[in-house]
Amino acid sequence: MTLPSDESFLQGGGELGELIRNKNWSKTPLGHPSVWPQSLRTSVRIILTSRQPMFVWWGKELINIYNDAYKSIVGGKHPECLGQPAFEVWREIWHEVEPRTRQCLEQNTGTYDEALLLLMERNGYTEETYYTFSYSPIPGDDGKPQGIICANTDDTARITGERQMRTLQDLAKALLSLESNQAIYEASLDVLAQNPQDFPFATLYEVEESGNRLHLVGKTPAHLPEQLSAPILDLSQDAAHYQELSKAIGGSSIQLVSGITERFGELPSTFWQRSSDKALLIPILQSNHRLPFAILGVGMNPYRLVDEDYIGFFRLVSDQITSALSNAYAIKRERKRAEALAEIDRSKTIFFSNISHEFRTPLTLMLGPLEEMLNDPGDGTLQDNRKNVEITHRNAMRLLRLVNSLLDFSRIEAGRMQTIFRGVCLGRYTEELASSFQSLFERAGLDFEVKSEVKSAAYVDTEMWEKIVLNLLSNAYKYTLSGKVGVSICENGEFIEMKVSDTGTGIPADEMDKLFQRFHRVRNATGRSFEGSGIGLSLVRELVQLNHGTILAESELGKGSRFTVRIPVGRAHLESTDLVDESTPFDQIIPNSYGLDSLSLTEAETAGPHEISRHKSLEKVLVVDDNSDMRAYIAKILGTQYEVVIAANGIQGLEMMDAERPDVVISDIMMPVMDGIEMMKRIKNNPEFADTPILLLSARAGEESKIEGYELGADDYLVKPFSAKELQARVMAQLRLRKSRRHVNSQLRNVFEHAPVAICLLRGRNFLVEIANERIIEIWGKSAQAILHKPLEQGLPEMVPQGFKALLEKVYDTGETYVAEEMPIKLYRNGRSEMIYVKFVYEPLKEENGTISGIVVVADDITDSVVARKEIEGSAIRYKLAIEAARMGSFDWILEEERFIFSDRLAEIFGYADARDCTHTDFVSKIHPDDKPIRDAAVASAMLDGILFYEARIVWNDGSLHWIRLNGRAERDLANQPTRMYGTVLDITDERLQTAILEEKVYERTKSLAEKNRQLQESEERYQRMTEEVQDYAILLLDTDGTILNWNKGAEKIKGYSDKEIVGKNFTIFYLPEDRERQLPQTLITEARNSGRAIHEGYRIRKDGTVFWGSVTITALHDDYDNVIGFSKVTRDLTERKISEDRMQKYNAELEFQNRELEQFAYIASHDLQEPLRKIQMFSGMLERNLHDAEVSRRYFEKINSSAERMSDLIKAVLNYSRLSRIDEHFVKVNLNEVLQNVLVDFELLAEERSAHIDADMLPTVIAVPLQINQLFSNLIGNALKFTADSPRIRLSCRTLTGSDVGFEHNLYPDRLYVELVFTDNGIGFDQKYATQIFTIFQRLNQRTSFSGTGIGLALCKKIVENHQGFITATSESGKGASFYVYLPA
Amino acid sequence: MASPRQCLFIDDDVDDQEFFCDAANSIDPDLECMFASNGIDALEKLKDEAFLPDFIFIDMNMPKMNGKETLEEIRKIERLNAVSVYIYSTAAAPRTTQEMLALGATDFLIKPSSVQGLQELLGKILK
Repeated sequence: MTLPSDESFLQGGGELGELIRNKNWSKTPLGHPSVWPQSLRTSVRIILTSRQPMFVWWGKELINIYNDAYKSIVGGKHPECLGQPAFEVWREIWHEVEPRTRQCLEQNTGTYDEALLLLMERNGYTEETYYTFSYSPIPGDDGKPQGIICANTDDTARITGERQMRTLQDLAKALLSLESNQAIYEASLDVLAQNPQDFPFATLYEVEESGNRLHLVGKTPAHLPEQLSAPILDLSQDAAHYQELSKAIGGSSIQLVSGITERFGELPSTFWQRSSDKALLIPILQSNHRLPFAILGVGMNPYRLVDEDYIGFFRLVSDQITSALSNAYAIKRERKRAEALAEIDRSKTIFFSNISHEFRTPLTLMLGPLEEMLNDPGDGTLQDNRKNVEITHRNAMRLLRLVNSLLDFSRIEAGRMQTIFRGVCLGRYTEELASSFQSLFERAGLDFEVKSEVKSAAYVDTEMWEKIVLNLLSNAYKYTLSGKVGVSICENGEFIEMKVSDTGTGIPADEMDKLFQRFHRVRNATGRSFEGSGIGLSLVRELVQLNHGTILAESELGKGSRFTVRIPVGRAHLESTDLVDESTPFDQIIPNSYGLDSLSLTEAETAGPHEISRHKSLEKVLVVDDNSDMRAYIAKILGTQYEVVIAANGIQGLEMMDAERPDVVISDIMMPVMDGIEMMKRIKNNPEFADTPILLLSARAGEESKIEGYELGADDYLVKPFSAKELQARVMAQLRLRKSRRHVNSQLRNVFEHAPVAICLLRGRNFLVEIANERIIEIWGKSAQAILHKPLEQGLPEMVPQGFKALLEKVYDTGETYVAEEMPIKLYRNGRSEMIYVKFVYEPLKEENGTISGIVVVADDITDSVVARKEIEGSAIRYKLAIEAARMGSFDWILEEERFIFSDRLAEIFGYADARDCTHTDFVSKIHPDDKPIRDAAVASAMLDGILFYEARIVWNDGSLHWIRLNGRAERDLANQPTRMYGTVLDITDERLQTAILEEKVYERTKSLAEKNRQLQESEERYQRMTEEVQDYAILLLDTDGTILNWNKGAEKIKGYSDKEIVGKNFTIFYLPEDRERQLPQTLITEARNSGRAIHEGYRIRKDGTVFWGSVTITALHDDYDNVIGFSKVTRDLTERKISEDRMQKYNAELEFQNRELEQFAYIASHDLQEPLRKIQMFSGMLERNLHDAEVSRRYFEKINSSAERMSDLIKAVLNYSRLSRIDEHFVKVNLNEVLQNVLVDFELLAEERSAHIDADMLPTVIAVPLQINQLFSNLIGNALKFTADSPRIRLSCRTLTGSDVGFEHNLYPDRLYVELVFTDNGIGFDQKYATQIFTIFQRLNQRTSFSGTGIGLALCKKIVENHQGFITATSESGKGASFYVYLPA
Repeated sequence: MASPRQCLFIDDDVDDQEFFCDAANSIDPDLECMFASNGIDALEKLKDEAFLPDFIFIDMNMPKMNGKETLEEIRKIERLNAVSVYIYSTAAAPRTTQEMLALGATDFLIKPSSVQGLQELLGKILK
């Protein structure tokens, strides 16, 4: 079609060109194109040739003409909107459009809008769109604007894309280092709440293991109604209602829920005015699990089509939450493992200290009598010696039991307990075992009944069965003080049941479930003796289990307990791996003497409190110990000088305190019924006995336990084993101290009592009222009983809310005196609350060593003088008010009489110097003309309510401006006419001025705030631009073969390739060669294709060849027909997390190693511990036969003594070694010179005796555990002294060098600096081939007789050095001295 | 009367040597007890071809050459094949026991902790 020449401007232009040409324009206000003005023609030509979306609106109606590119903007309105008035086309956003058109047409200026949000209906639904556009006026032929031309850019995709990226990025940042699920949920929802456009609401539900119940773990917005965010959802209740949810959980696929408003009602709007009608349920998946971990519910943006693209975004969001959760899970799992291992480690350490603790009591009792016998061999009568030997023997037996339990423990722990099953008639066998207890129970006055009805054989390890029976019976014996103990054995179906029941103290219900736990001891249980390491019952359970049986405990507190052991009948249940010994016919197996032999409970432990020696005039000592041997031993030591009374436990001890009022108390710590600590607390809290010194005996060695003892309030602390002389000296010192303390105290008390001020002494950090004089009690208004010897808080509870407790604590903690000049205090005195004023001082009470032990309070009640002063102050205020009043002017205007009476001050205020002739008008006329209406309004209002008030300006005659405030009343007659007005006037010019200045300031401040806001906004915009491109995530698209289709900034940052280099390559390029070889990339792609997603963590390669630890999620992308069309791949660089995880794993491995080592150690240690014990028993056996021969006896005694001492050394070493395994020791700076000096002081005597010569270089300071380094030096120097026959020469040299310069084969870092310490001696040395052997535990190179040693010392050294990441070795030649080389990090 | 029986007791602990000798002689007063304080010392003594003990007792835990090594060495000496060699130790893990028996120990004895126990133990062996 050829156009008329004047319509050639309509040529081309694609579809719209065609449409425009064919449109019948005559029917529009524009008329036929041939009559269109030139400028319209030009504009239309422009848009038809442009590829930008553009339109022209022309004429009054702004008729719409647009081009092809603009079609996508008008969307569904095309083509009808061609030729329509703009008002019709953009009806829904006309309010936004119209002002802009007016600016163009009326002011002839263009507009510019960037990324303006417009809710447009382009495709049949209202859509969130962003446009950048400019309207430019088109001049008509008359030069005035006749139309508008507009160029548009659709920014919707950019703006929404950026917003979503920001959410993803924020999520990445917020979730990276979180470790708890709840924190992840909260942080995720916080981030989602920042994007209310895409998340009008969101909920997070955790899915229970069953998949049927969900728990709400977070939501946004906070006011989301409950219908949509019920705390718990139960899918089994209403399956139809939750069908989408079930699908989301069961199928692990995203579900779209529609009709939200219909189902749940209108929702609160967050960003959009319209509420979401659709929601997505997105499963948060966990790898290797059928069910999702959680469900994320998201309300859909009402202005956005829910298409695959949009769902893809939510999938990325859920991926992030998923990976954060699985990270947290991994970290948690590692940490849990670490905690579990540390717990095992800790309990082992406890076990070791417990066991060595238990060793000490019998040792004291062995060493004590032996010392005595050796000290006076001549006088010892046969009888005395026999008794001593008996004690020694009995305690050696006890030690043996303990060692055995240590051995059993370590065997079980190491899984080394081997069960050898033998067929045995359990009925008869148990009867025989139990019968050996008969006499024991009889002697204790208990009924003992054994019943058996079993004939069948059971397969058990007979030795273990003995231990089971023995332990259960000893337990029953221990905890049954009267009544009956019964053992019954019967067949019950396929089982043989043994019941051991007693009428003892029973077990509290809350202890039942811990009963079989290792190391657990029922605290303060009433029983006969309290010996044991806390593994008896746990051992029983382990043994029963090893025999394929079960054990059950029932108990009622105060009534007794019953333990039931069930063992299967016959041998059918035995497994092929079980060892069975058929060599002995079952009825011929009888118990050996193990039961009787190791049970020496027969010693009389029940001895009640009775006095051992009475010396009326002497000072009195109370000895509290549950061990009768120990009581007797102490009583014997002290009996010559003091009157000794005894008690067997804490309760008896307290009774004796009341009855005997001893001068000093000596108590054991661990005792049944009530332990020593509890007893001590009660004594110290009783004001009557508080000053009685208490000396605690403990078997627990070590500095910490000593400190613990003192902290608990012990006056002295003695560690077993102790010597008689030591005990005597300590008791004497305590008594002397007490005497002088009493003297000082009574003097002090005297001073206090008579002081003219109120004084009290608060002791300890709980502020026990130790002394309070009458005056202060009077101030407090309480009775002396209510307040004395109690924590102040208890007697005076009102002090806490008033902050005095905090004040006292501050003084106590800082040691700074606090002075209050005039402190109001509210007290409840005489039944009512009173306010008093007190001047007081809190003075910290310091002990000689500088520690603070209490606070002295000196107070003075100054209420009377304060009240008096306050009264004076009160009248001063009133006076001021009066002056103020004087500054007021007053007036009285009687309208009826036309009289205006006023004060001089009023005239002054109005600027009249002499106002005698002034009238009412003279005053009113002074009011500023602008403020007249204020005055008139105020008068009118006063007619209504009678109150007259206004503030106004007045102008003086000299032209100056003044402000007044008028306060008055109006009186009216019945006709509501004013009759009289009166009141006061105040000059408020100054006040006003102040306000004006203030307002000015506020204004300025607001301005600067606004400026700041603007700057902030700008920087925010900058930030937005900056974060346009995501950096934390590599997000890429792959086609079905894994070829990379696109690439983002994050990918470039993480992997190093630019998009040009990588697009088109296959993603296998990121994988390590070995991963490629094992087809990992293909496996992942296949997994994603089949199950929708593949998650993997592993090392990947960067462009530069370096590796990083990546967390990768590959998600399959589907088309509408569910065909896989490609994959999205999100990679995160988690190298740092990986490193920290690896570190954690290494730590766990170390812990495991330590545990193994400790087990090994326990096993070997118990072997070595048995040796001296066996000897003690052998020698005491031989001794008993040779008591008549003094010479032989003496030799045997010496042997026993040295064995016991050796035992003691061993136990000390065991404890030290087990302490080394503690992982929580602190590394600090340690000056090695000081360490050396300390050690040399310890060895002073020995060194002198051997005339040793020791010299050393200047030593450096290292970072180390002080105790351990001390031990290291002590062992090495001790060894050098010990293993040198005479005149030892020891040299300690030192230098610094790098690891690579160390001359031995070692495991040190080559480029790290080390301190080399060489301990050289001239002793016996050793053969170089044993150089490594000497550092293994219990390895001795020399016969014990020639040189002493436990075999642990050097192992200890090695361990210490390894703890410090160092290295130790030794060189020597037999007979020529040795050199020990220690390397510690410098 | 036949020449008195001989036994070699290898243990670094002189107390144990004393216990052993006392108990052994209480059963067979003619028994000659020889001592060695470690494996090396024992092997030195056994080099003397004229010395053919009837019994050998070896402690497990000794310096320089421990019980296991000593046992291995002794079992290499052909002329001692018929001699009963007992391991004599403080305590035993089942695994160690098995190991020692496999290396040719006649039995694995645990050191008793009473004189009477030791006498009973040796009684069974020496009779």
